[in-house]
Amino acid sequence: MSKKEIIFVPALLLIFSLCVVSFWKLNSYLMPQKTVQKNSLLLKTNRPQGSLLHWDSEVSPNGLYRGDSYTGDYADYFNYYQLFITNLTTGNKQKVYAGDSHTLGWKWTDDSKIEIDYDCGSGCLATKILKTNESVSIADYQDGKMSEENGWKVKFTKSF
Amino acid sequence: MPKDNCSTQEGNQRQWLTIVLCNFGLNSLRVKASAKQGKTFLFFKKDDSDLKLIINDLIQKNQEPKSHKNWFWCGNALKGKSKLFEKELNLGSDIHYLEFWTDRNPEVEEITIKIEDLKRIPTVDNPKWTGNFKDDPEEILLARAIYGEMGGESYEAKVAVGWAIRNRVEDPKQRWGKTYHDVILQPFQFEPFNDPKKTVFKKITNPPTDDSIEGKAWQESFQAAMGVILGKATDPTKGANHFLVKNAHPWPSWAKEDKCTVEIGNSKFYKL
Repeated sequence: MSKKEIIFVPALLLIFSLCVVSFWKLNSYLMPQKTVQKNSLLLKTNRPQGSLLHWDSEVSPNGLYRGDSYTGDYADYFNYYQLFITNLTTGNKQKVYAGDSHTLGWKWTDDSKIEIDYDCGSGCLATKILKTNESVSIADYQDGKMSEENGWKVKFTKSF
Repeated sequence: MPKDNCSTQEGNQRQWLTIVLCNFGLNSLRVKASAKQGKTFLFFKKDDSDLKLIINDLIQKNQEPKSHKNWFWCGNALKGKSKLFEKELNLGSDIHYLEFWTDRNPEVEEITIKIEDLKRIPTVDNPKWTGNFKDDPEEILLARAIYGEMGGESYEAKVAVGWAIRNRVEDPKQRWGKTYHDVILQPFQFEPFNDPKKTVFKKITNPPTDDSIEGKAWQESFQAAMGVILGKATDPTKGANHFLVKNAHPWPSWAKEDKCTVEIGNSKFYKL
């Protein structure tokens, strides 16, 4: 064997082993990241997106659910007010209500029902009862569709 | 306590310490002090130490026997012992003078002044609610109403709601009250004010003042309120005093088409 071959073979082996180690290290470094990205993507669909302001957080009377309300951009008209319900057993979070800036607020009426309050003008209050597994958008109740037959209760108070 | 840097001095009946409260309410005062009896040498008795308290030109009298009536702490009666002055004054916000006069060198151990809680007046840059909407100036209360009712709507809609409120205030028959406070705080007329648990109540009682979306909406609501109150913004509602968001159905009996004066954005305005 020539002098060159004596150096070349171990050098080749060294480079090969370095490649194997580097690949193994890089893979183990990348793998968890891939998993995290995947999870965050999944969570993102069930979490409030964008820069939202968090206002309320209230647990249901039986302690199984938690409601959280947020407000976002007024420009996203029908999605300004968002209410999310989290199942505290499974951790699953779901948007149950999206409404405009006339939405007044919400409250638990029993273990699995929520009341949404909507400001429909001077001396006018509209309410709707939602179940925790329902999903409602105010965009579906425009131009007089906020009616009793659609599950809304509209109450007027005389001013004089 | 002015003990080390401005102690009482050997001297006859002199003004020693004056505390002036400027524009504070004075709830109560507590002063603890002692005064010594003058020493006797042969047939001569040195002058006693005495301390006088004057609150807003009124001398606090000493009722104890064998004491100078105008000196609440009288060395002849106290003989070096401490005596407490404690009084509920409940004086409203004003300028209050607390004067201490000394004769020779009595010792003041404690002065506790309880002042009335200061009422903060909310402003556009510091609109945090005091806990009582009556503390709001009318432009702040109107801005809260506009922000709660039309925060997400156009500037024109904000001015329109402001005018609907002003038209109630200026109603010749005075059906809703004489002031912005009467009108806005009338129960169940302006929903944002009705329930402290609702999100909107939290919004109007503590509007953000930063450069955020909410902060800008608050600033715009305040501008609309000022425009309405000062008359710089003309009435786009043509005298309306009611409004309804078009979503709700059925509408109340008073919402007749001939009473509708204008439609702005998603709201209809009515003059009743």
